Amino acid sequence: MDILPQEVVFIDNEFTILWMNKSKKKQHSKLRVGMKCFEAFNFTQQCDFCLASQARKIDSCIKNPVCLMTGRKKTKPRHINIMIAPLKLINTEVDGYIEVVDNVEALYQSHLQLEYLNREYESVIYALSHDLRSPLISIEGFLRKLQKNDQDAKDPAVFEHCVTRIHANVESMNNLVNMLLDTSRIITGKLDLQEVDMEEFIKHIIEDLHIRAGENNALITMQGKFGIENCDKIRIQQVFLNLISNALKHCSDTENLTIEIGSDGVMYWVKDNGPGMAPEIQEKLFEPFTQTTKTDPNSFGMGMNIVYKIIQKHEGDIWLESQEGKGTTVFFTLKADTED
Amino acid sequence: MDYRQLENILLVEDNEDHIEHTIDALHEGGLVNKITVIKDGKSALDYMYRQGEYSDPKTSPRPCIILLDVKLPKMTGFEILEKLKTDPELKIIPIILLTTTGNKEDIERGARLGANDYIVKPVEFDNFMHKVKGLGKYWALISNLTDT
Repeated sequence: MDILPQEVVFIDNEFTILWMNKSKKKQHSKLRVGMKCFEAFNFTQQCDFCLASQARKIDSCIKNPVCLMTGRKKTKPRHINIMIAPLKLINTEVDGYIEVVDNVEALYQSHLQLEYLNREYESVIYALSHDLRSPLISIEGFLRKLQKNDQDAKDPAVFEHCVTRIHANVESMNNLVNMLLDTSRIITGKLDLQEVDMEEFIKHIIEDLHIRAGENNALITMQGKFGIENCDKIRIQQVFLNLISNALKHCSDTENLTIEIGSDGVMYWVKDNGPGMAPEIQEKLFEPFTQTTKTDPNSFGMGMNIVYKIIQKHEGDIWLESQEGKGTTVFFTLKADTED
Repeated sequence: MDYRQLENILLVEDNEDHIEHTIDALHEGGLVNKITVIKDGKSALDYMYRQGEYSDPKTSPRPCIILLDVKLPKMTGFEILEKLKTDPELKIIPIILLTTTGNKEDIERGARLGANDYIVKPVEFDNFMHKVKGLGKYWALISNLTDT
């Protein structure tokens, strides 16, 4: 019993601690055999919530999930399951209790994580059902129109228009499905890690974007120091391309748009001097299907979520600073695990 | 009984194709002279409150019915619905929600916020015209609103 991971303690009827195992001693370093159990809570008499007395009253075991606030400022939650049962201690005349405390904090945290994932999953399904259904509705409408045109007017212009729109909607659905497949590959696939000279790498990305930047009258610059990074080159290229494309798209009205790609050797950033983002958009930016601007049929609001997933896969962090009227900077770090 | 014709329907919808299909359906039904199309939530409220480019009542007449898409840029259909249905002067104008998914929660939320009816896209022509006609006549009979 001494080596059990659960905290085990024997108490007599007067709440005096008779014995405790190693886990209990480790958790409550000030607690000693001979002390009263309520002294663990700095009380001078039996606790109001004394579970031992309740167990005695019903002469049965009591199980209770409890959240204790721990730490110096009592702000750190610790979720535990307490089991307490009355017992007659063997070979003694003493009646008492056994208390077993199971630390379920890790379980609780994974439960929270699952709940979060479940909510994200539900919102993805909801958004998907809209974004996939929307082009289907359009296609159905144009097919109906084509049928009608065939029966009545036989207008070649109407025919041409309907076929063009059906194609556009099929392409839109195809883009969405490809984006979902890509997200799924990032989540389930393995990273192809390699040593990347970030300075050369970023220079290539800027060269590739040269024409697009020119069309938007934008300047893309490099700032700071770039080292060697162990990362998935193709995925990180995707991160930079998505961030820069986003800046170009959302700052199209900005005069003298400058997009800075920077690094201090630890973190990277993509900074623009565009219109910035409202706080409510910033909060949701990395969630799937978050659209920040007016309708663009080929934008599903997946780009930033893909960026987030890639950084997450590299065990890095991503965050942003944005102020309306002053621009946006997206920061990220990379810390890839070679065994992944 | 004499009632005013459905002079102006306000369609708040951001998807160009869906706008085209809805206008086709309304024209085929032959009951409306003017359809005003607004493509985002904020402009829809500007129109209803006659602000900015919609300040002239002659060019921006009060609609006799509003067809409101749920998912809109800048402001959702629900936000617009809530705003209009809590406005003492405007709440009388019937609003039909247009939903792509037919999601039960969306429909219930719409009803709670005061939507007069809903239509699940794709627009089923007969059902759609029936709802628009019914609510439009209701509005024309009881409304004291003028277009000025």
